[in-house]
Order: sequence, then C-alpha cells, then structure tokens
Amino acid sequence: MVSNETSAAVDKRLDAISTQAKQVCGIIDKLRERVEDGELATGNGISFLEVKHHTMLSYITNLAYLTLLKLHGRQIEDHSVITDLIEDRTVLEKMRPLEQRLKYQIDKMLRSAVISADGAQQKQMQVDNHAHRLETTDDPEKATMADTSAKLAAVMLSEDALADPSAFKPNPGSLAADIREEDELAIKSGIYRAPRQMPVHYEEEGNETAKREKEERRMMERASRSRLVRDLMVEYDDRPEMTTATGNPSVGITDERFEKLAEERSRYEEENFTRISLSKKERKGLRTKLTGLEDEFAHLNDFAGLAALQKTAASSGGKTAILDRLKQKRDNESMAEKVMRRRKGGDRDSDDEMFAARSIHKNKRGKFQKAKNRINKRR
Amino acid sequence: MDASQHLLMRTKERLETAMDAILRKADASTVTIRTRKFMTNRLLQRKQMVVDIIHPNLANLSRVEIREKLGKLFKSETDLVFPFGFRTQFGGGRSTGFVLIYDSMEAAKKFEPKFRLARQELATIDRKARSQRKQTKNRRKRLRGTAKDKKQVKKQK
Repeated sequence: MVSNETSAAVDKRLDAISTQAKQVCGIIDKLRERVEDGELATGNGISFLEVKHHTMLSYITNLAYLTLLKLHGRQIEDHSVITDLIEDRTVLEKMRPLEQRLKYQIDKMLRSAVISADGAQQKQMQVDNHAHRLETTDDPEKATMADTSAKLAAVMLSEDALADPSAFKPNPGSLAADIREEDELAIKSGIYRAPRQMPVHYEEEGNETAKREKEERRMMERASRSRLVRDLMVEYDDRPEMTTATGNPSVGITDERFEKLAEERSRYEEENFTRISLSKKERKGLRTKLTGLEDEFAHLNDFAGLAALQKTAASSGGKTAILDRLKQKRDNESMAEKVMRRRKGGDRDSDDEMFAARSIHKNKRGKFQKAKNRINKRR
Repeated sequence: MDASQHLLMRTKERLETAMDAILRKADASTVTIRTRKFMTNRLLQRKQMVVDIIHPNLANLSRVEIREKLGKLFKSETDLVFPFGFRTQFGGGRSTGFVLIYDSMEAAKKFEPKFRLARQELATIDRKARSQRKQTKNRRKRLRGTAKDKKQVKKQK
C-alpha cells in the first residue's frame, strides 16, 4: 500500500512517537518508585478496577509485540498473540456495561475520598458559624425554626451540592410525623390542644322532610305486614287467593320474604356442598313460620297498622307523597324489573305500599267519607 | 269348619299384606333416587352430586342404604361412597343430601375428612376424654416453645 503522505510527515510522526515514548517511560519509572515505596496501596481498592487495569496492560503489551513482529516482517498468521489479544479485548468489552452500572458508586467514593482529604473540617466549621450566628435571636420560636433551616442551607451553600456526597442521602428524620409549627409549640408548652385533623361526620341537623319521609315509609312497611292490611288486600285483590289445604287463609306477604331466604339458603348449600347451621333464634323463627298456619282468629287485635295508615292518610302530603314515590319507583325501574313485573302479572300491584295506599283510598270512597275528608282538609 | 276357616285366614292374610303394602311397609322399590348438580371433580378424584330421595310413606333412608343404592347406580364399591348432609323435607317423604364417590381408596383416605372416614370405619379417631383434652390444652398454655412437646411429669400435690 502506498501512503499519500510525504516522507517528511512520516519522519515527523516517528520523532513524535520516540519523544512521547521517552516521556512515558519517565512517568512509569516514577510511578513504579511510588508503588514500591508503598505510597499507593491498591490492596483495598475495587478489585473490579484492578482486573480492568491488568487486562488493559496485557492488551497493550500484546499489541506492542504484534507491531514488533510486523516491523520485523515475521508471520503473524495463527500466532498465539492474536488469540490473547482477542481474549483481552472480549474481557474489556464485557467489563464495560458492568462499569457503567458501578459508575455512580465509584464516583461517589472518589468524591468522598477527595473531600475527606481536603475540606471536611473546614465545612464543619462553616456550618457551626452559621448556626451560632442565628441562635442569638430573642424569639425562641424563630430560633428553632431557623436553626434547622440554617443548617440545611449552610450545608447546601458551603460546597457544591454535588461535591458533597452526603447531601442526597436519605433523611430518616423526615419520616417523623409531620407536625406543624404551632402544634409543636403547643406540645412543648405542656397544655393539651386537640389536633385539628380529625374528620368528623357531618350530620345535617333538622332535615325535617327526609326524616318524616323515612318515618312514614317505615311505618307503611310495618303496616303492610299487619293482619289488618293483609285482610284488606285479600278482600280487595282480584287475584285468586292462595290458601293451604286446610283452608286457613294463612299465607300472606311475609311468606315471600321467608321463601326467598330459604331459597337463597338452599341455593348456597347446594352450590357449596355444605349445610348451614342456624342459630337458635333462626330455628325458632323457622319453626313458627313452618307451622305458621294461623287460624282466622289470630292477631285480630293487631291494630298497629291501622294507626300508621290513618296517620299517613290524614297527613296532608302523606298519600300523594306515597303515590308519587311509588310512581317514581316505577319510572326508575330498569328494563329487567319491568319485565319481571309484567311477567308476574299484568296490571296488578305487587307493591305492598301501593296496595296499602290504594286500600286507604278505597276505604274513603263513600259520600260521607268524602265529606269528612273535605272538612278535614279545610281544617 | 276347616275349609272355611282356612279360607278366612287366607283372606285375612292377603288383606293384611295388601294393607301393609298400601300404608306403611312399602318395599324398597318405591324409593326413587334422583341426582342433581352432578360433577366429576378431577382435582379431588371424585364425583360429587346432590341427591334427592323420594321415599313416600317411609322414614328416610339410612346412610348405609344410600351407600348401597348409589354404589349400584354408579357401579362403584360401597366403601367409596360418602353420603352426608341429608335433611328430610317438612312433612316427610323427601330428603336431600350430598354424596361423594371417590375413584380409589387412597384418594378417599387423602381427601375425606377424618370424621366421615370414621363413620364408615375406615379410620379411627382415638381420643381422650374431652375434659382431659381441655386440661392438657390449658396446661400447655403456660409453657413456651419445645417445652410443650415434652411429656410433663405431674407434680405431686
């Protein structure tokens, strides 16, 4: 291969090489002396870096030997040097990503070594000075506040923050509870002051309408389960009446609930292959329900429902409120519920409340009753 | 007369058997067994199902009888059939319960709880008296660590 450079340029380069080589020799000799004197102890260093140095050294040596061979015109094909070179090169390349990962640690160690060598003492003195200056304020509150912040500021300002390796270390002190300054003072003063962070449930006092409505609804539900209303329903309902074989008109609305419960229970049992054990109360309740074939004379004096019905009927907004509410319920029911309602039976009211309301309405149909209503309303 | 008496006795017997058959002592062939929610549980190596037994005019079947019948039905040994949880409906005539049929005796011994194995004499639970068990438990509460395993010598009072 013929190079384009002139021979002068080549000579210049060769001269440069020889002078640089001499300089390097001098530096290496000095270094060797220092190592032999024991100044630079590398025993406790990072062994990873030592490996790197040694491999680099062997790489360079082999490279030099290779160039020597080339200069002397020897054959380099299948020479052991080449395998050694390749080996060293691979090692170095594999070490590079590891070094990347260790970079932060190594830099931090270097910095700490550098700093501890020069100015740790100086820094400490500076911080103390700052703190000392501020402590002389009269206001004790300000002093405590300023003390901590001053220390931090001093630490950050005295040296370049990056140079101080401990500036970014985790601060376990900040794990302590976040107490505000006033609270801290209050705690120190010895008088107990309640903390201002406790959330309390907001109870809107005096929401009369909601309370009244809730009360009404509860009474209606209870009334609809009473004997009186059940009899009314039986009387006014067009559906065929469901009775037992003995002829007692005992099956009422309440059985639906218990039937649903029993169905739910049996479904659970069969799905999970277990038997649910009932408490004593439940068993007693079951027994009464199972044998709950009341005769016609039971609960005839159950007039709890009557009072409730009369009250809600007499109250000015009661009936309409109930009906409105029921209408709302109907309007808000979903498609599925609607289908169920329709499937369960045409136009009849399966709603207890609705039926009760209607029954109230039906009770006051007569002329005399209408007149009485009018008078009551006017009053 | 002998002939007429004989005839009378015979008719009386026939009447009695007929009455028995109608009223109480229905024979076993009138019992119907229906299974629901049948599932082959490969993980526990068994078949599990809900069993409805209809036994009009009879008390409900005992567990032994259930095992025999289901063993015949599913062509397995009676030892591997484990019925439990049988409850008779109110009014009688019908009872519902659960049955597990294991594939092999090892599977049964592994997966079935001890009390059910003990019901069928496949495992024994030898226990001390209940009060004794409770007393040992309370004594153990006072000890700590491996001392609980050591056999304590009772203190002479």
